[in-house]
Amino acid sequence: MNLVLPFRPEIAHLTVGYMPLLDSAPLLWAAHRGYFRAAGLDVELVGEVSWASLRDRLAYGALDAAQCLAPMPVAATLGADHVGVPMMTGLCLSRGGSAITLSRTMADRLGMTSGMTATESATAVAQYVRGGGRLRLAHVFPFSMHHYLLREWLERGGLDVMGSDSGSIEFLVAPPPQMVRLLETGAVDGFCVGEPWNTAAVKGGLGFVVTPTSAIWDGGADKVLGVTREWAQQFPNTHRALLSAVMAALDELDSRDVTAELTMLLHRAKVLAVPESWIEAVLRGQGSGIPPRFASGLHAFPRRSQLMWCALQMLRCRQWNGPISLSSLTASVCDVSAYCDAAAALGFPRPAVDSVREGAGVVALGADGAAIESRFIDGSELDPANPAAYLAARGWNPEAARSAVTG
Amino acid sequence: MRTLDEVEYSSSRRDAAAERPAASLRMVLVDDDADRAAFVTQALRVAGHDVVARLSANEDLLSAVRRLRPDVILVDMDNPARDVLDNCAAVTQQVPRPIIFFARDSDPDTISRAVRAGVSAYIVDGLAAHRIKPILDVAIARFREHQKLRNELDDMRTRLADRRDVERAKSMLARVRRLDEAQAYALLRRSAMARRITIGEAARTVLAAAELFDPGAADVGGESS
Repeated sequence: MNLVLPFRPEIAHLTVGYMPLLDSAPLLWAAHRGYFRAAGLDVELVGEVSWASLRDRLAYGALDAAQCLAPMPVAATLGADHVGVPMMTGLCLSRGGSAITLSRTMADRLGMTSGMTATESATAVAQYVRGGGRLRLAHVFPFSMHHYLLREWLERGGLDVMGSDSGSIEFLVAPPPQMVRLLETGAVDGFCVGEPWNTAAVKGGLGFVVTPTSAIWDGGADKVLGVTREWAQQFPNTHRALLSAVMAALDELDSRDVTAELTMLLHRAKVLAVPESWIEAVLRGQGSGIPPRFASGLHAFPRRSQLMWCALQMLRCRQWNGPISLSSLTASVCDVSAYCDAAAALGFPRPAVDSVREGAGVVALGADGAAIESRFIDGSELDPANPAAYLAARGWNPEAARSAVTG
Repeated sequence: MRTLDEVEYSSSRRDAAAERPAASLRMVLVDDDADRAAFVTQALRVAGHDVVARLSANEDLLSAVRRLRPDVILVDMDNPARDVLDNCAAVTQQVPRPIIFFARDSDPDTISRAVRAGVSAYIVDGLAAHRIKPILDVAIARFREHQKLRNELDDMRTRLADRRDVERAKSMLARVRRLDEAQAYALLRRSAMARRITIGEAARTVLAAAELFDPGAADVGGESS
């Protein structure tokens, strides 16, 4: 494999962190297929056990780059993570691939059936809460799509998770491999997590998959490749070489059926302590498995409007008490030029704009007119030119919304 | 629910309470490594702090934190519980007092050293940086010391095992390939270098292969272990 790239990496040896999940596949695949070496890089992949330690190691320079939850670089640059080391991303790794699962007991009590839409299941939850019911739901990290989309789903049913219904629903965080055990012991009634933990809950007869998160927002970025701003400024060519290598891997994952080889790779790398057959079933989307959605083509571009959505959720669930200058925040997090240079070097399409109206369905993004899709479950839109309207549509006082999001 | 070492820790706390300096902080350790936790606790006690409990990743940390109300939570960086604690920090209304990850104004060099040593701290909001630094310094030093001791021990074990296996592989090669000891050793070393493995690993590969071809052969000339 040879990549002919115009970048001369300033440094060759990189330590790149990942969380052992199905969607760490793009990084493992790039190493497996020799794309890093072809890009002139000697990459050491390091598995981490928690998002918090991955973030700290990235923030304080023990890692050069890392697979991050999409909201993480936003929270870091904003300072909402209490570490406050500014981060950037020039690549989206995956978009969705998580699901919401309830315990069998809770699913039966709520009358969940497999044909239900996400809106119908959320409505059933709301009825239960209105009748005095309580719910404990786990997700993976405060700054994660899992957390935000879980809230979005509950709101879809009519619940006010920050207001009148906040006492009935408790959110907690748990490491993904512990989710199924928590369901078994009754410590939680449900969770939002990536695969294979939803499949594991179903196979164990403990859980019922309610909805994939892609039904709540089809088009959101789930994981991104993050670096610190300081690192990106210090090593711009290394950053571009790294992006090119992973983009080549993403392209191959999208264009060829590599399921068998990928299954073996994930199994051999001991990424997940589950049977090989489960990994393959999930990758193929068999049974109730939610296949990972690796970012391909223009979906690999981390749109500023996606990052803006993340920042707006931080305001909504009071992880940050405003005001936020959204335009300078997203401009500083999204490394548009690194993405465009890497894409150009590979002959991949480049984006013509860095933001779209999220939720508007099929929207043009590519310089060649190519489109991507972005759909919210409630049919709403996020107009990047008017984020205050997004907050106002979600019950914020228009005045408070306007002062929370400046320029 | 009582936590791992809470009973024991609390009783020793009573004795220490009398001469507790005013600057003493209530601390909780989250570490699944009992040895290291004891090692760190001792150093923190000597420094005048009050370690009220050691918790494990597998317990309900949120209720433990609510009950114990520590000023500082020290946690092993590679503990999966880190994400749970980060959430305690984010969802401040769930804990009686806000807890944040590191103090916002604490010195980045100290934090950077802590991260590299594998220790993290969650600290009550508003606690002055100059009160946190000595705690982190003690914890960092102890983590490093513990790691060094462990590495030395592992190293010694590996070296002993290597020496034994290299001896056995060498004498077997000498016998089968009719080489003298020096030639057999050189052959083993070349093979290790070519395959980028240690000479101990190369020796064990030879012994494992010999075992397949001729059960018992690998024992000839070797010490019994």
